[in-house]
This record gives sequence, structure tokens and C-alpha cells, in this order.
Amino acid sequence: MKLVVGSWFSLPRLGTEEFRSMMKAGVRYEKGMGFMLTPGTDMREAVHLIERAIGERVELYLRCYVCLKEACGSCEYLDVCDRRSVSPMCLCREHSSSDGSFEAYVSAFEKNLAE
Amino acid sequence: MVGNEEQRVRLVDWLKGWKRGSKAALLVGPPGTGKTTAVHLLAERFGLNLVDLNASDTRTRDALGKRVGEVLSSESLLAERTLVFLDEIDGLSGRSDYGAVEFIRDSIKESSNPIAMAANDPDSENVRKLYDSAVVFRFMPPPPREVEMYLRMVAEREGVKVEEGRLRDIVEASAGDMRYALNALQSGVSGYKEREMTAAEAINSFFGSQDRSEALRALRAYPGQPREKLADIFHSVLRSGLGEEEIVRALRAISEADVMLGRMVRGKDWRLLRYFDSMLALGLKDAIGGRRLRYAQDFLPWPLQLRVWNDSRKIREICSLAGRRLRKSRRGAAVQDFPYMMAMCASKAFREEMMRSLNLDETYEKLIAREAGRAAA
Repeated sequence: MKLVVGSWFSLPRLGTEEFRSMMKAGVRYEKGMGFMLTPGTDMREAVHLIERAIGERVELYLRCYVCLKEACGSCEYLDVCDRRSVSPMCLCREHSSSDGSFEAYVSAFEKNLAE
Repeated sequence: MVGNEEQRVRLVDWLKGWKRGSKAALLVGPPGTGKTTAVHLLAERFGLNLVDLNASDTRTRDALGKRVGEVLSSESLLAERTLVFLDEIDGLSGRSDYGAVEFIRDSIKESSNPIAMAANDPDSENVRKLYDSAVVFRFMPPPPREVEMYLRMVAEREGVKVEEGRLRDIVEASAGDMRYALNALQSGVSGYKEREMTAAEAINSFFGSQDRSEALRALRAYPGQPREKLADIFHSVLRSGLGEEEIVRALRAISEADVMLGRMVRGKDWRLLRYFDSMLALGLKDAIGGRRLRYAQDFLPWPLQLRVWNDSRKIREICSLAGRRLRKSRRGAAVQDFPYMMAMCASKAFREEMMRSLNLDETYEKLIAREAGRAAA
């Protein structure tokens, strides 16, 4: 199962304890929308719980901090990046290697700070 | 800096909302993830004075109280605010009778200035004791693409061209440790172990290096322990025939590296080892300029070595006796009082009185007279 940080997904019905553990790990839940992994989620714990609940392996994908598009699909570091243990936002190819990438990144951060 | 964007935004919000009695900020995460940098940038952003203390250097309640007690309880007349930063709190003494953790917990409640703390190990006993008194910010290693983007930016600003393959090697070897990545970028090393040399080869190669990165590689290739490396360099410098000013500068660089090594050993902070070579390479190469020194072992003739050994034994004994009289450690007496005592020994009356009160026999007379003469000079 592929999960993108910041996107809604659904899970089969969970037991009370499992649901509680999920909330404790910082997974967001909204009735009608489902679950969401956010940058504040304990990814390692959450992915472990989800894998146990669905009985299959979870592939975690991060978003680009600048444009918010999914960033991992075309990443040259996909095989070496432990996405459960890194900080939960990344950069897409365009916003990591083009001229002015760092400035765009800093602007995105300042914008987030102002919100 | 890059990575941990959410945590950094939370950190800014924490400081904006901070008032007396609020919780402290506790940043936890592996080395090189930007905890210290984040706090420094925070202070800069809000125009705060930063009192930065490595808690593993000041490990007990009394020592912490002396260093930061006043800052924690005082408010500036000029309405300037201060951010107190206690780095590496997992290095505090864990023994309850030292009371350092308890001191921090009490201080957080009463401090008139915000306190930020950082630790590498979130599960250490000290850190866990502080969770109730702090808002926790978990820092993770930034993902590889962010590391790459940052390194590329640094290289561009420094006007350095780095091959894509090498950049990628550095990013992968760093595993998100930005400090490592920047050091590797700077030194041209990308995580591969250097070829081992003999001690003589490494030291000669260090002294003969053309630039800092070559010097650093040579030091890293030294086969022995850091203490042996330092001793070899020390002896080589002393036998080098450098001019007086150059030798003073070189010995100062060696001494600074020695102090750092001592701290590492006392605090068992082996992570600092990676900076030891950099510090030595930078300091010493600057000190000796372009001079090409050669490897040399112990330089003193045996009778002189014996005298040095005897003198240092006697000085230790004097410091020990003085420390007992002054109710402090031998080390305290050696660092704080011995130089003044020797300066005052220029007066014969004082010298005799000191020898009498410390019960020193006549075998100490020559040494004290020599040290007094040196102190007076």
C-alpha cells in the first residue's frame, strides 16, 4: 500500500486499542475523510500500526515542501532513504536541483511561518 | 538550514507564546539534524541574547548554578531578553546527588527568561525526567534531497564545483547528518576510510600538505590514538627549529586541541572526535605557515626528562597540599592559585612562610625559586 504524507486514506475497521494507538502516534482522523499522516506523526510507529492493521507492507511517500506534490516517485535516493526516519517533508527534483532552489525553500518556510 | 520544517515552525510559536512559568523547549534528535542551529537562528530572529552552555561541560547543580543561575533569575534593565540554551543535556551527571537535572526543572518554573535544551538521546534518564517540564520538538535527519540541495547551495556560494557523483556519495554517506555532510564537502572526503600510514608517514604528510583538506586527510590516516598523534606532533614541533613566535602559535594550537581531547575523554563524548582532526589541522597549519616540519619522537635528553618529571611531581604535591588548605581540589588549586602563589614567592618572606605552612622541606626550595622567577618574568 502506498501512503503519501498529507493525503487521506482509509483503513478497515480498527479495534478501540488500535485506533487509540494510531491517535497516540499522531495520525489524524476525520469522519468521512479517513486517516492522514501529517508532518507531526510518529511515522515509524504509525506505519507499523497500519501494516499490522492491513496485513501488508506500507510504502511511505513524502511531499515536496515547496510545491506540495508527491516527491518520492522519481527520487534517485529512493532505495537509500529510510522515509520513516527522516524529517517528513522533502523536495521534488525541480525544487531540489534547479537554480534558486534554496531561495524557494526559504520562501516556503517563511510563508508557513507567517500562516 | 534544511529539514524539520514543522518542528521549526512550532519552535517559533513556542517562543512567541512564552511567558514566565511557561515550559522550556526540549529539542531531541540525532547529531547533525540542526537542533543547535535552530536555537541559534531562533535567538537571531527574535533579537535575543543567547547564553549558550554545553551542559555536559557543566554537569553538577553547583556548576550550573554558577554559570547560568544569574541569567535565569535576572531581567535586563534595558528590557533585553535572553534565551538560555543548554546543549547536550543527556551529558549531565545522572547521579541524583549532583542535582543538575533537578536544578534545571526548578529553574524552568522560576526563570524570567526562556530556556531551550537539546539532547541526542530521547530515552536517556535525564531527558525523560525533563519531559514534563518541556515542550518536546523531535528533530529527524533531513531527507537526502534536502541535504543535496543544501550542499549544492553551499558549494555554489563558496564558488566550489562538486561533481554530481561525489555530491551523491556525500549525501548517502551522511545519512542525514548535516554536520558530517558539510565537513565532508569541505574536506573532499566522502565517507571512505583513508589509507593507513605509519605514524611517521602521516605526520610528515601532514606537515608537507599543500592545503587544509590534504592536511586533514593525513591526520585521519594516522594509525594511533588521538593522544599519541598529539604527542608526536608536539615533539615534532619542539624539535623543528621554528622561530619563537611560530612555536608559541603552534603550541597554542596543540594546547587547544589537547583541551578539547581532555573534554572528550572526561565526558566520554566520542562524537567530538570528528572535530579533533579538523581543529588540529586548521590551527596548526595556520600557526606554522608554509614551514615543512619533519616527524620526530621524544626530543628531550634523559636527564632533562627526569628533571621535568620530578618537577611536575613536586608541583602536583604543592597543589595538593595547597588545595587541602584552601578546601578545593588539586586541579582547582593548580589552575586558580598556583600561578599567584608562585608570583608572590618572589618575596622571600612569603616563600618561607608558604613552605612552613605547607610543610615543604628544602628539596622544594630550588623548584619554588625557579617557578617564582618564571612567574615574575
